[in-house]
Amino acid sequence: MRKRVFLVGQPNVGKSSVFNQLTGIRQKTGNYSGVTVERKTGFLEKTQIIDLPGLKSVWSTSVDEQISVREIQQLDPEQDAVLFIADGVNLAQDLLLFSQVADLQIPILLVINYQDEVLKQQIQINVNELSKRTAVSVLMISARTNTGIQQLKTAIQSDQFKYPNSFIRGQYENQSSNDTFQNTFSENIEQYHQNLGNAKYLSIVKKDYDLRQPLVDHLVEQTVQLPKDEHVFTDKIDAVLLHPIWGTAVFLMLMLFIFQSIFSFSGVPMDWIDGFFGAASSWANETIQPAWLADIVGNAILPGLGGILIFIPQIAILFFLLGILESTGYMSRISYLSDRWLRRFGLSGSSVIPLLSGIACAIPAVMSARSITDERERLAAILVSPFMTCSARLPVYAVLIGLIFPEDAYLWIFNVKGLILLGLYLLGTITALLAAWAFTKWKSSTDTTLWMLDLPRYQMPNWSDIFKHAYLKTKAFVVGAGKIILAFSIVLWFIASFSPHTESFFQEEIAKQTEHSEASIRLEYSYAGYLGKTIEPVIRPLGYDWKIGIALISSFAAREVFVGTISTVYSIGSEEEMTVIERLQTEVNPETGKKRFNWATCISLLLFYAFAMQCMSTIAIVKKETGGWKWPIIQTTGMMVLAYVSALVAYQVLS
Amino acid sequence: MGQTVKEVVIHLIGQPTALHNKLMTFGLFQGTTAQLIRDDKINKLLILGLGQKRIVLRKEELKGIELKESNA
Repeated sequence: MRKRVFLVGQPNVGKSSVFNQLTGIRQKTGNYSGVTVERKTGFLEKTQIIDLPGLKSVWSTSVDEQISVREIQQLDPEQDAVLFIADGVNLAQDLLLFSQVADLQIPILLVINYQDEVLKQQIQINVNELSKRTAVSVLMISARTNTGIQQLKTAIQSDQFKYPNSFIRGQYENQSSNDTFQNTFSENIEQYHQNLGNAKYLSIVKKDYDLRQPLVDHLVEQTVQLPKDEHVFTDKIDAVLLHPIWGTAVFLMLMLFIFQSIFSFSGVPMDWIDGFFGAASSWANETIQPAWLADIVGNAILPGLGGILIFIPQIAILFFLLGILESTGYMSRISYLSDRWLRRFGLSGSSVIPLLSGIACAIPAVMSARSITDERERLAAILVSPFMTCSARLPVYAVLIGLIFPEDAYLWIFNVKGLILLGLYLLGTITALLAAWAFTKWKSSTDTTLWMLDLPRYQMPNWSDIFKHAYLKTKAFVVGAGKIILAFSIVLWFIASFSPHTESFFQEEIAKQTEHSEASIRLEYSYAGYLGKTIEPVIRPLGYDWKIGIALISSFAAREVFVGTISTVYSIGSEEEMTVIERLQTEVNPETGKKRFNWATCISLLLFYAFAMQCMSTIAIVKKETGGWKWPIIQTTGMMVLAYVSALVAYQVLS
Repeated sequence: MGQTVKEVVIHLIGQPTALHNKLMTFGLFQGTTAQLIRDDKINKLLILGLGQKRIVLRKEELKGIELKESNA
């Protein structure tokens, strides 16, 4: 039995479905060390199954494909083997890659997937002839319908991996030192990847293809018979879905449905999670002894956990719906339709999903940028997607807009508050696009400028794969970001709960300041309060006082914390009959005698929250996805500077 | 029904380049005959068909590549 089996194949050949069928839920998702390329592993009995990133050619230049090639080159042929997955409908393309992997001389089992589609389209594949000519075992399966999976498992367990016939490997080994190849096939691949763009190695690649392609064409001629009528069903659907008008209309309707679903379907489970953690916090505060432990569990750990777990429904729904789009083949059509608009900002159609996902939450948005092959564009999408107006900004916007516009303000038939909210969404989108434009102008790219896109054929969604995909992605979010936000929550709790003063000092202050609540006084003299006062000189030009400063600091963990903190700071608890907005509207600036939350301050705060990186989870996920602290620091600094400057200008102009 | 799909032959002009390599990884070689499935003038994109594969290219990025109609 083999120790490790590596799944190799082109993108969209159903490799992940085969992986899921072989390993079930026994999967682990992580990243390759040093890079952000995802590595999925699982077990079939005692054999480790590794799903390598999709590979178009051993001569590909993207990071994930280079990793696949390196992994294959480093296999131990005594213990490891390759399960090569090909798409029966596009066998000619896949056999070209197969010939390259075969020339690396590793034990292989050739699996032809989509047997159901092959039969439906009356494609004839002579499996015996293919096996004879390649010298490897060939199996026809359909991972989607579970056909042939048991035979595949048996083949893996009974070690039916064989060394394939070489295609042009001999041409490399028999060359004189003056000829093009010079080195072995494997050495040339390594040299090529180390010298990307070098003319000598580009010539080697061309010669490799020149020699290889006729051999593969011949193999296909001898083993595959395509039906005469190649009229593709997919083209008929694409005539509508890629139509400049109808295609765009369908796309917009689908996006509307997705974002409506995220908000509509997540409301109830989010309330449950919120309620559960609220009750758990109360329970902890009332029952745990000693008091300091109750405080840290009930007021730091549980709210911190709740703060991250509350996003699970939105993230799971988003990944589930994106999984459907991916599984059906529609995702590539979205890239097609949006490319025209996004290329003006240095992006491509590949960036549309991270940007749209950012409207729900920046975390899945950042994660979904993995599908972008151009490293510069992927980085741009990661860095700018937090500008998109996420759901956490909504409560902040709702309070601030409510402070400056009355409930019944209308412009013609439109509610003014709704128009301002729409304007803030547009502001986020335009800023993200402009930031992407600036970033891609500034950062050079090693990738070729040629943007190419595969349009896979349409398929029925594979529900099992979609559920697993949503589960694994959500789990990765909770575990990855959860650890960091929990740690920050404890730190924030500490500085808000502890003070350099004694209890007798507080008793005196509470007795003196009868107009303020105890919570407000304790906060003012806590370390967080002093921190607010320390930063007051910096935020004063924006129209903020130390109390708003505390809200800014505490909402660094998550934007929505702003509302809760500002409620506490301004003693909302003592005025039960007043809403947050009503209470804040009565707050007076003691220096000017005018309203604290006037037009200028509120616009300044709106702009600050539109641009500032007030989300620890996003910082954590950007760190995870970019493999270090460099980009999250640059991103956070850039966003904070933009937030500060725009808030400053707004306040100074309007006040 | 009965509509002829245009075919184009790929010509890679000049010395091998990274762009040529990228085309080859998608299965488009010197002399490859592909179907011109769609010439999208609004989105400035081309959809080429290789068997049942559909490959999208930006028209403005086709420097160093020539597409000659074979059945025009």
